[in-house]
Amino acid sequence: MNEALIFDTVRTPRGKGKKSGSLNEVAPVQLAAKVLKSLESRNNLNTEDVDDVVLGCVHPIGEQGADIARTAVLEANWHQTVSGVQVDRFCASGLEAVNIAAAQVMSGQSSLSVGGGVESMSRVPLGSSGGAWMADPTVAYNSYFVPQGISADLLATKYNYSRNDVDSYAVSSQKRASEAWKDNRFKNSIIPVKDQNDLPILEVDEYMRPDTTMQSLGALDPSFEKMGEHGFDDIAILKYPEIESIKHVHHAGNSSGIVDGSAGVLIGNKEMADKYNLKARARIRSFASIGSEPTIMLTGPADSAEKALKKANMNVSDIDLFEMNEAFAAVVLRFMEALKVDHSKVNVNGGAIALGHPLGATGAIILGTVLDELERRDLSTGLITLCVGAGMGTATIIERV
Amino acid sequence: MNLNNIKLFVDEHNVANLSLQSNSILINEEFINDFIEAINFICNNKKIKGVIISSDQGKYDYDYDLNFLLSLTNAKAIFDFITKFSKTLRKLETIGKPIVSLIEGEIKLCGLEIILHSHYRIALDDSKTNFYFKNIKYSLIPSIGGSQRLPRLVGINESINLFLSNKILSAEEALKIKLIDEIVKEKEQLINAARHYIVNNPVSLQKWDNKKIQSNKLNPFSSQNLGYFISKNASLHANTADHYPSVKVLISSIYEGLNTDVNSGLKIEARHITWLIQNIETRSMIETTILHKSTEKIQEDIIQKFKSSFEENYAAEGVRLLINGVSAPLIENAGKRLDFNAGPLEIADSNEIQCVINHLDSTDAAVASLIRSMQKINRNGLSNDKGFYDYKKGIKHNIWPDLINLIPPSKIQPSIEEVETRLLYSSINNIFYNFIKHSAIKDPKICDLMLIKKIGFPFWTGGAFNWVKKYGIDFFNKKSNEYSKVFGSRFVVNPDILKILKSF
Repeated sequence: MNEALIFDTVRTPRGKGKKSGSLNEVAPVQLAAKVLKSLESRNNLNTEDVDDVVLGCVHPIGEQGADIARTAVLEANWHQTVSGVQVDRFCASGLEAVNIAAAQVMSGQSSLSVGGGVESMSRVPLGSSGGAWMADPTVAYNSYFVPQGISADLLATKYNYSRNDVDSYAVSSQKRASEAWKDNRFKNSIIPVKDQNDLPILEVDEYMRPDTTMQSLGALDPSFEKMGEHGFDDIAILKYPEIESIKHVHHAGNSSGIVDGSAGVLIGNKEMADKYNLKARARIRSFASIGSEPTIMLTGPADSAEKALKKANMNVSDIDLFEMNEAFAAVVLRFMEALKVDHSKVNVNGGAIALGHPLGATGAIILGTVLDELERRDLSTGLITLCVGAGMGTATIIERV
Repeated sequence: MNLNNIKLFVDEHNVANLSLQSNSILINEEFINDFIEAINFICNNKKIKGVIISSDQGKYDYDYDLNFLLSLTNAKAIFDFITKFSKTLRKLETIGKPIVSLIEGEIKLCGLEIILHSHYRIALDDSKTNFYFKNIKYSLIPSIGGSQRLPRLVGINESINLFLSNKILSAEEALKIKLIDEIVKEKEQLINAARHYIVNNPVSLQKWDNKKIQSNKLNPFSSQNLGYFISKNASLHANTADHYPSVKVLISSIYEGLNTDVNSGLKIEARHITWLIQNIETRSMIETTILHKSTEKIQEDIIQKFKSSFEENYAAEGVRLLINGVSAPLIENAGKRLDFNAGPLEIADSNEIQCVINHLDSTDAAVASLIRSMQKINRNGLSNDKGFYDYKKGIKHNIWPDLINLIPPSKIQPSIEEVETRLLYSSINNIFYNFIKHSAIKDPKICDLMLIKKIGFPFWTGGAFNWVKKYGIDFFNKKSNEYSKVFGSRFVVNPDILKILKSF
């Protein structure tokens, strides 16, 4: 098997995912094309050598529809021979795209590929692609469908995470993200978004609230209590009858932010490294996706991490740093408890609670974040994982070379 | 044309007047064959300019012949029966000539389904004209296109609300929601209004067959409807737990049908109803309620005796489960999932926890001791806002947090299904015990009807006798014997009951 080498990681800053957000004026295909152009220029690529561009996108409809990966290839003016494919594994789509690109290289079917993702949540809102999972009565009944926020609160209830626990976690995410920006730790990957006149549109992650405190979070009402009262709490309890009632602890301040953004990871084999004189920053050790119980939905990261560790013949203690997507605070708390990982190794530069979670792109973003940090600290191994809708988890292990 | 169920004549304006004869209250094979013959006559007669459908007594008091439907046990036979009628209605609906229904008097679900295929519905606006809906939860969903045509006519939300209600709509109310198209004040005006429509609409078709009318209102994936289905799925599922399959089948039939056209929708509906007729819970509920049996003859004091014994026994079994180390939420949720009125501990509270003492035997010392310790600290039940639950002015708040200190739950908990089975078996054996003891009700079918209508025994079972019969007498007896060895003699099945069950 060939080694899948990571040459470069880039991402846009994350804009607030609403009309007043800075990236709302930028079409998602342009965000993705900027990422591709940046990979091309930073690595002096002749794009004819790129076999495939795999992009995660969770709502592939409207302006994100019709295979946005190939559309972005064309818009980036890459060579026409470069194919593009859009993939959807919900919140892990960006990481799944990286894994697919890596698999192409490992299997020898591609020499150079891009894995990444894009989501303009301000323009193609959450939930806009519908789906049988939640809408089709037979499917919703049989799978005991509840929206993700209810799952997060169910998880917190089942594993006894109090409002205090989840809020404390959120405060630390904001602090870490703020320190990371002050220290310019994202500089290697971040590419400012500029217009056709080279005027800047967005240069920093704008969702952050560094002044967040326990008091300011305490003032927020739980987001999913009303939703729960309309039947979803009962559905969760039908599936988890040991629970008396769901404690609604999650709100906008301890859940991932809705943002716009895009990211890409350039992956190739040794021949390509030699041809372009590219430094292999890391290699992909292993990756795995799993399915888990869909109503609680968000317990997959620990299972997928374990599966990836087993495939890499590694233990939890072999991993220097973890990026566990902060979809909801309780998800990370549960991940750390299940894997017995200390918070000092997890999301050391903050996460989606502070910085935001552009669904299709996040997996590729946080892979770049952990690789940059491994280099800064001169550590070796990183594990990236995300919880995934409908009860799944995806994980990837990278190792610096 | 004079058939048993239908009269048909073509008048001087070449309008076919089709009159349903009210001696045929039940829709069965004979009715359908007559109907097909009449429709074929209309379709083959090119001179006919339009059709007026009426009912000779002014009533559309039709119902399915449920006995006949239940007698069909083979899926293909059910499907063929349903689609035979449905296809005929569809044939008439798409004939291209105006079809008008005249409505007066009582109209029930099946009658409504017959008139829904007409292009124009005119009702007499008097106090006798009423549309009777009957909650489909305990029976069957519409089977000749109702789940496809009603939502297309009155909207998704309105149609689901109507099917799941016992509403009675006047002609005016029916007009308001566009269930009908016109109301007239005098009986004589009905026929004139119908002729007027036919003259002015020589070519007529349903709005759902009109390709010029494109509406996003009925698209399940419009943002409004998507949100509606997501939340309706949950609230209906939550209200029925995993029972009452017709509710799930109804919303499925509507959702699936609206993702396609009426022709496919009718097939989808027929497949759903075919499945539903074979479903064990549906059959149980219909069998127990079908025969228009009455519980009126049962004396009120007998009903009360059954009810209080049933509730106290259920509460006592809940407390015993607690003593056995089962967690309180699991016990309460098991009761709710079974569709008892409430969990056993909540029932204990509402009847005062002292009620549990009435049902204890010599092996229940720990239960008695728990009740006394709670009484000592004034946790007597709902009346003083403290029992197994904490209440605030009579409103249930949460399970008493200190209960786990008094009776710590075991580390390993049983499955919810095990808890449900024990509660159900205990309840059934309590009912059988009282059936023998009171001997006032001789007929187990009447007993079953009383149980589901008056006592609060889960409706979906069709009653205790029916449930045991459906799930297997030998199995029930064997499992009861196992329970009696572990948990006490209250699970022993009386030999007379076994005889009754076998001849039931």
